[in-house]
Formats: sequence, C-alpha cells, structure tokens
Amino acid sequence: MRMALAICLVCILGAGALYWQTDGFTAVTTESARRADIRRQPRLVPDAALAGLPGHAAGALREELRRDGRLTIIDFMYTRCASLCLAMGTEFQQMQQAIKDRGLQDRVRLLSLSFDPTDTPRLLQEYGRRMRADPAVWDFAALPAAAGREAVLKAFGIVVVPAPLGQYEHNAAYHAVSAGGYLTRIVDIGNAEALLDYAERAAPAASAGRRAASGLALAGGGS
Amino acid sequence: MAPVMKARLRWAASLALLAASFIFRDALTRTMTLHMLAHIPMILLAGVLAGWAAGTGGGRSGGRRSGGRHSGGRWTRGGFAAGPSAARAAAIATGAVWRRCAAECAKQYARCNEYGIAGLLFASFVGAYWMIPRALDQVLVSPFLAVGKFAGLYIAGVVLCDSLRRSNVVIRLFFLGNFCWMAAIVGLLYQDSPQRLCNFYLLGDQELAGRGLVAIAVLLPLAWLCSERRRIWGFCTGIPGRQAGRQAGIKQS
Repeated sequence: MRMALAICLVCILGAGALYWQTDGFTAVTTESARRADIRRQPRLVPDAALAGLPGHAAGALREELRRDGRLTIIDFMYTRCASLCLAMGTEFQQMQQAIKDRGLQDRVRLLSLSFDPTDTPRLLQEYGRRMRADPAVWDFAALPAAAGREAVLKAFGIVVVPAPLGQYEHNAAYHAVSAGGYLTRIVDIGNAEALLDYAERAAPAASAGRRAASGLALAGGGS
Repeated sequence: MAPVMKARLRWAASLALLAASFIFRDALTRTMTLHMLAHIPMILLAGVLAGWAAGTGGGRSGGRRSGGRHSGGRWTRGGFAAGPSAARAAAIATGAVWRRCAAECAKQYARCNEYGIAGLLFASFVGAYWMIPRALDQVLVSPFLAVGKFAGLYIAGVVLCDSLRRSNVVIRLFFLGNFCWMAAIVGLLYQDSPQRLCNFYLLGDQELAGRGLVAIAVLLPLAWLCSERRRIWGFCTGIPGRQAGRQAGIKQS
C-alpha cells in the first residue's frame, strides 16, 4: 500500500516536472517554447538604441517602429557571418521582391539588426548594398549600446554563442513586430510565404499603417 | 580493508566528485557532450558513492537489515572511542537517539521503496528530464535550476544505489531496458536533427552528444550482462536457479 502511494507520488512529481519543463508536453527545445510563448502572448520589445538607419536619425527601437508604422519583420545577423545570416539575407532578398509583387511595401518592411558590437553603420550599409537591399523596404541597424543589445536579444529569445573562426552561432528566425512594439509571431527560416501571409493579415491597411496603429490592436489581430 | 575504512573512502570519493563537479561546472557545461556525458553523470555518481558508503537499506527484498542504523553505530563507535568519559557518555546517548531515529526513518523509507521500484522510477524520471534539450538550456541561465540540478541528481544517485540493492533481477532489467531505449532514441534524434536543439550548444556538439547517448545505451546493457553473467549462464545451462542465484549473490554482496 505504502509502496503504491510512493510510486504514485513519484509518478506525479516526475510527470509534473516533465510537464512543466516541456510547456505541457508541447516543446522540448527552448526555440519551440519561445515561438509558442510569443504566439500565446505577444511580448513588448525593449527600447534599445539603434544606429545606422539610413535616411533617419538614429533612434530607439520602439520609437523607430512607431515612426515607421508598418509591420516590421526583424532578423538578427552580423555582417561577417558566413552561414545562417547569408541564408536569411538571401531569403530577405526574395521577401523584398515578394513584398513589392504583392504591393505590401506600405504595410510591411524588413529590418536586419546586427548583434555584433564590431558592426558599424558603414559596414551595414556596405552589406545592404551587397545584398541589393531596397531602402524603401529593407533597413539595417546596429545595436551599439551593450545593455540595450542584451535586453533586445533577451526579449526576442536570441542566444548568441561564440563559435570557431570568429563566427557566432545563434538561433535564427524571422520576428514579426507590430508598429506598437509587440513581437507577435516568430517564423522559421524557409517559411517566407507563410510569414508574408501572416503579415498581410496582421499588418494595418496602408492608409492606417502610416498613422501608427496602436500595438495592442495589432497584437490582438494576429493569427 | 576494514568496513569503516571502505565506507570512509567512498564518502571521500563522493565528496571529491561533488566538489569537482561544482568547481568545474563552467568548464563541464561548456559543450553539450561534456554537460550530458560528464557533468550530469558526475553528480549522479557522487550520489551513488554516497549511497554505497551509507549502505542505507540492505535486504534484497525490502530491507531485512537496516543499513542506516548499522552505519550510524559504526560511525559512533569509530569516532568517539578515544574521547573523555563524560563526552563519551553524552555521545553515546546522542548516538542512541540518533540511531533510533535513523532506524525509524529507514523502516518507513524501506516500506515506501519496497523492491526499489519507487526509487528506480524516480531515477528514471530524473534521467528523462535531463535528456530534454530545454532543460540543458535553462539550467545555464537559472541559478535556481542549477541548485535543483545538483540536489536532484545527487539524491537520485543515493536513491538509485539503494534501490538497486532492494530490487531483483527482473525489476532491474525492466528499468535498465527502459532507460537504454530512451537514451538510444534521444541520441538518434540528437544526431538526426538538422537544427540546433539547444540554443547554447553548437550543432556538431549536439551530434557528438547523440553518439555518446547511443554508446551509453549499448554499453550499459553490456556491463549489466557482464555483472549478471553467472545468473544468465545458470539460466541458459539449466543449473537450478537457487544455485546460480547464490553464486551471483556471493559475487555481488
């Protein structure tokens, strides 16, 4: 009897720990948990200083999002990257074209944020030119202040690990952020079509978009 | 070697392992392979050694002799034999209370952990928990979980050692098989995944950890087969089970 009770207790404790760790048996990796978490509850991104946005004054992230008024698709990269960022860059290139083809350029834009402290605005500009980025759709910015950079990476759930040959290993995905500064959706690399479908549904109409729609209204409008 | 010395050596080894796993925790969690195949087993092994040293629980089927009481007495006799008489009397009195208390705890515990089933189940859950990539990630950023990792694995080691003593061959085989298929499947998944499962570890490292898990899933049953070879030999050749069992018993105790 006592043994049965002990076994039940161990089962409850063990299953409870596994349930808690996997978000109710839905996520075994931090990455999938991060995506599900954002999907359930959009997260307000922190206000970190940005540098290198061409044509605008250097501003803070939330201010920049509000000013622009479009739904922003953000990826995290660094210009020296030889692998993942290049793949994302290529896909951003295709997305840039798809946005124009769909006529979404007034409602959706792309923003590449560099987490590498050695990336200067000039390096980012050169990188943008190499990637044939159209400044009307695709912007680049660095996060120069260390505290702000850490806060942004933490809020987005990006972990950057130094790797051999001076590279960084980092989890990569596309992040849809509303004009109000809410991170509403995280989509994996290679799912550009699905992401643009989502953006088309979630982004404010062109006329309203420029009038800086409130973030909460957008956050609710997702999925 | 005297039993006291043996127990002390095991305690020392357990403490040394635990201290090493704590001091070198940063280096030992730097790669996924080290984290899964060195750091976690180290803490577990420290617990197993402690359980071995304490000799808690004894009987093969539900604690026929209470090891807690046994070791308590041994420590008291060994530690205070040369002290002044008043201190010695006090020590003996405290020792008696302590022994009674330990004996009662051991009795209650033995009834809960009959045949070691509950304990082995607990150890299995701990093993499963530490194969979740998210658990490996989270423990690196949360000091609370890091403390939980040390405590949980150490206790699991102590309980594992004791439960193995209480269990019989069928129960051991069940839990061993259970752990091994789990490790093998997780290891294969780690090797096959084109994506990084842990945000803190590199992809190549993940593949290596996967190979390590598969290796464990192969080596552990082989080690078990070796340790049970007499019993298995007896089973295969048809020598009556009692005789084979006695032989195995002599080897293990």
